[in-house]
Amino acid sequence: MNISNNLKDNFKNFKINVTRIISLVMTALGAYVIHETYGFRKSMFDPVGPGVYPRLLGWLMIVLSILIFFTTPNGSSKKKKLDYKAMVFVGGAMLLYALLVEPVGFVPATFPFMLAIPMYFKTVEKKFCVVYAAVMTAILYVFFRQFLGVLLPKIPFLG
Amino acid sequence: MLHLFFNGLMNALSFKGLLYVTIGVVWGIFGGAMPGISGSVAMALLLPLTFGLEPIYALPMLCAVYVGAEYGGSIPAILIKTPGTGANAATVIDGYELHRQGRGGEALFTSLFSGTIGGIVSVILLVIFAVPLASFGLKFGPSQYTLLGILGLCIIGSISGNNQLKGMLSAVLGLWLAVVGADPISAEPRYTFGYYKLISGINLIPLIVGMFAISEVFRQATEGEVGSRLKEKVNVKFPKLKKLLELTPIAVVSGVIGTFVGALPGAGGSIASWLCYSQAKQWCKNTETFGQGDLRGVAAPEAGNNSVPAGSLIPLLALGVPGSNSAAVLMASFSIFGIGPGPMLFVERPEVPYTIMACMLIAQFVMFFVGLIIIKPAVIITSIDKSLLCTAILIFASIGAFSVSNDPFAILLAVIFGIVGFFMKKYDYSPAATVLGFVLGEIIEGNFRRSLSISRGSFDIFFTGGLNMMLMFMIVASLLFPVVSGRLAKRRAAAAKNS
Repeated sequence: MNISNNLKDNFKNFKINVTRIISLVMTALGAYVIHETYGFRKSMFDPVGPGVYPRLLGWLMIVLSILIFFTTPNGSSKKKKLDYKAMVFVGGAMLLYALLVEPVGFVPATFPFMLAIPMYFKTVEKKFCVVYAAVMTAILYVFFRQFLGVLLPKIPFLG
Repeated sequence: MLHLFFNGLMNALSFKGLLYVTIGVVWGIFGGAMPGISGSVAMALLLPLTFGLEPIYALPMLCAVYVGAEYGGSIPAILIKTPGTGANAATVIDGYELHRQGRGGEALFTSLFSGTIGGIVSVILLVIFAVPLASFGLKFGPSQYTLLGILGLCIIGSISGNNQLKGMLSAVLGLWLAVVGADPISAEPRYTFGYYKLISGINLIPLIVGMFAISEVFRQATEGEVGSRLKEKVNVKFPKLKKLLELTPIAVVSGVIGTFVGALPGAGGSIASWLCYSQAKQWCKNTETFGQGDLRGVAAPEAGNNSVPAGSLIPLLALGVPGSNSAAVLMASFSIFGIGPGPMLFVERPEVPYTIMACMLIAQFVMFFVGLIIIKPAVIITSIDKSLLCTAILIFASIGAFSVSNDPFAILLAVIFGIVGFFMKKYDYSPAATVLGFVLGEIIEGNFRRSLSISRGSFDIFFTGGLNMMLMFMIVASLLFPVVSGRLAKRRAAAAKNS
């Protein structure tokens, strides 16, 4: 990491790229962290207080983010095209699963989740997906709930 | 000490001890063989299963997962040029080349053989060094623990990825995440955004499964890897006895190096494996075959990374400071059982650390024999349709996150950390540094505040005393080392170009 040469090159052809945007966000986070510390109440039994340490962290965040901002090379590196729809689908399915698993129960929530992901990617036959989802859900339920005693949400009114 | 170790050995060799160690090793091998599932994730996913067990079986089982995962990661590294864990990246160089030459079976056996030797060496060193270090650790006060934690973060920040500053910032982010929740002294809510579920803070398990497992699934999904399937067939083949005898000293030396690297807070299998590979290249004879399918190029990194589990237990058991993310999961399990790692553990509950050490030794032999049997099923893991594999990983991650607090909010947190981890990897930040920062955050803040209480607010306490000055020197050295070595490398490259 050669800071002085990077700084000269970077000031010549300054460009905002994603890394610089991230460092601006982290600088803002650092500022927020510091700002919040002034609202923390001190206890009479604690001479240091709950704000000193996070304030130091906030300043570290700001300093490191500023250094990254100025030492990042200009321009953006070529990255391959990514399929963000797949990520949104998988993430959305997990969020839905998190919302439903307690109200509807482990088995009714897990089966559609395990069915939806392979069916979305369409790499396995639909019939196999259904069998896979059913068998895996049953195995997981028996293994975790019955064999290991891990508490999993039950189906309401049925148990 | 010996009688305590033998008592631990009796626990380890009991039916229950052997059973749980075997389960741990098998789970670890399968977990490590799945790219994206590191030792720490495999341990985190198994953690809920240990709640009903006694600690002298649960803790060694988790250690066995760690041992198995470090070996399991070599299977996809050799067969499909994809390391199962970061610690197996160096194995790809010669391992995959050997597979291309039709010698994948020899490579797999070499990985198992040298990994076992490295692991045995590391357990012997663990037994030798843990107790004296624990005695030394009794001299550590709050300021020393603060500096030790900072040293760990500086090491991982310096070695993470291609950018030291980004590594350090990732570590600071982890330190901040550890602050979220009620202040442990005044109970003042910090950064909870008024949301009651954050009062108890963020749990380690959703953070780990999110940052590593879920982010890896996101990466495979966005890069189109989820739809791929690779079919590999391989049989384990034994190299000639003469070759094994030649590989043994390499494995022993790499085991020693890996143990000491593993003992450094923040360093881990990745560093150990690359260091052992480069050291083997330097002192072995006829090294022009390295990189072209040389069994020594598999033996050295695998012995190195397999010795890291026991090495990382040295600071955990002796000082209560985890040497790696996997050791951090182990530390979390210690707290679940109400046991505090650190120097007092050897005084108050000596049966725990000695049983763990004995089980680590047994786990090496179990890994060898189990590894021979389950290589074929583990190879199947690399050929299963990835959409099915990713679904299984996601559901295990969800159950693992949910079961820690029986709250679906933990699954939500895991998904959020998965998204954060995905973008961190994409833009060269270090999720590993964030997780270690989170783990060390509680140790650092607690000891930092205690130090300032003792010194009545003066920071001089961190610069007073020989031990503190030595730790300060190591912190500065760890920060400057990448800069200096980078400049030296550039000068050498420029000199080579000119000549």
